[in-house]
Amino acid sequence: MDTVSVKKHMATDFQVTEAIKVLRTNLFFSGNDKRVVALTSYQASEGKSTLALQLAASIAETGKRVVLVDADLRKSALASRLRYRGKPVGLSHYLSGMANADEMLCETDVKGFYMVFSGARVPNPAELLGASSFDKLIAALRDTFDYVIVDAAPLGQVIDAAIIAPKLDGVIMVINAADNSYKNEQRIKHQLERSGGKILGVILNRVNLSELEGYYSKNHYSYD
Amino acid sequence: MEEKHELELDFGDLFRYLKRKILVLLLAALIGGVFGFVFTKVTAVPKYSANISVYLMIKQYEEGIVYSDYQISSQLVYDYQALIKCRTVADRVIEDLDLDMTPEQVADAITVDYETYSRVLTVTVTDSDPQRAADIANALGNQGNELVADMMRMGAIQLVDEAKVPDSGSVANPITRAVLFAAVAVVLTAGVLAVIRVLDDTIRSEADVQRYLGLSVLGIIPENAELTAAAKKPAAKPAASKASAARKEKR
Ligand SMILES: Nc1ncnc2c1ncn2[C@@H]1O[C@H](COP(=O)(O)OP(=O)(O)O)[C@@H](O)[C@H]1O
Ligand SMILES: [Mg+2]
Repeated sequence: MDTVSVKKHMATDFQVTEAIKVLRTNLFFSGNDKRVVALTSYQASEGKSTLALQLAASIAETGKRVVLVDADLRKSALASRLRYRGKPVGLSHYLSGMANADEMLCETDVKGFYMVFSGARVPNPAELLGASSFDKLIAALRDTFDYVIVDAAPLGQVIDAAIIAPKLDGVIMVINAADNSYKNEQRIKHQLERSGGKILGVILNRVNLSELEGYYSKNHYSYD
Repeated sequence: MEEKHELELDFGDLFRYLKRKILVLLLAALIGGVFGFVFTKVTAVPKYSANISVYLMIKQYEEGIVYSDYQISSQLVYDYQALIKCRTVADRVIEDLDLDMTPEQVADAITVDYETYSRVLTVTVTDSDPQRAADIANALGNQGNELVADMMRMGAIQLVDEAKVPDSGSVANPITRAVLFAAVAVVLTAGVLAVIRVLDDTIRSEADVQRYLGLSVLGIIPENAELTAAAKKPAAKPAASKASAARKEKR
């Protein structure tokens, strides 16, 4: 197994780490049956990959075993973001039968934190994600890990997230607070619900904290 | 939990929003003020005022003035004020001076003042042309007074002072205008900002998530340079932490 450097990408800013901890705590409190969770959003670049990485690493810090699966087969951002130079085997290879689960699982320098990169670009991501091999992979990861965090493609652009949603325990909608439209968010919310997915809640990203005064809810304290 | 679609007015939110936009509002005030000042300076036409003094005194008996003469004359002060502005007088002044003005314009140019308990009136004519102001004032003092005297059925109205051609005019105060324009600019800008805010369909807060999606918020992640930098130049990580350390110090 190749080792991926994740540590140096982890946030150190107090406000950010606190906010990630609150998110982690709220996910834990969503219930023990919410362990396989995807992040999606309406647009690209709302922060799914950024937050999936920070959240997964933060979960690993509590001593749990967690795997981050880059299921955004169209953008495949995590490998380049983490400057991963190891074997280029990933999810698309596994789903198309070109690799087995062990081959694509990457260890990281954070204990208990594993990565599945997206692999090579394929012409039919939605088809691959809809196939039973994806279900099988999820079942296997569910047995091996405490938490499976799936970085999914933006639902405003491609159907992928709605295809995998019903195969997971839940979906979290990432919303860029600086740029969104509630009509679009309602659209993908309904799309996820129609697909049979369970929406656990929303992450408001890129929030300008000074704008939040008078809004900040009292129940958003970290528990640890 | 229900999703809401309709426009809702949240005055607390609007107020906080405008408070955050204080710099925009100040800028609007500045632009409005400067514009008002310059505009007034450039376009304001000086106004010239010329005035005559008139003494109203009725003489009921040839022998001399009696006390009731004073009383009646005092009453006539009010009539004079109205009559000197009447159309008959204005028409006559326009005709005599061959003015390119309407009777209403002539009447508007006239103001009449008097000291309480006195029968001396000051008739002031304000115009953009000093010579014309004096001419109109003097025409009022002569032909105008004759007509008014006829209407009031009294003897001649005494002209105390003739009008002189004024040599300096007055201009609208640019400072007052600047303040007025600044205030108008602020109100208009605040109005536009409020409309933008109300029509804005962006989800920004936990309350918005509840209102529009009926979903709970699992996390609120601040905008932070560290998260941006992490993606763009992971090699420059120490710089990012330095930046956030600097931010912490500032607080
Ligand atoms: N909270 C944040 N503050 C600042 N920049 C952020 C934040 N979240 C995400 N970004 C930046 O936004 C860009 C897009 O984020 P990314 O996670 O790649 O989006 P997505 O995976 O949804 O397409 C990246 O440059 C990332 O660093
Ligand atoms: Mg991404």
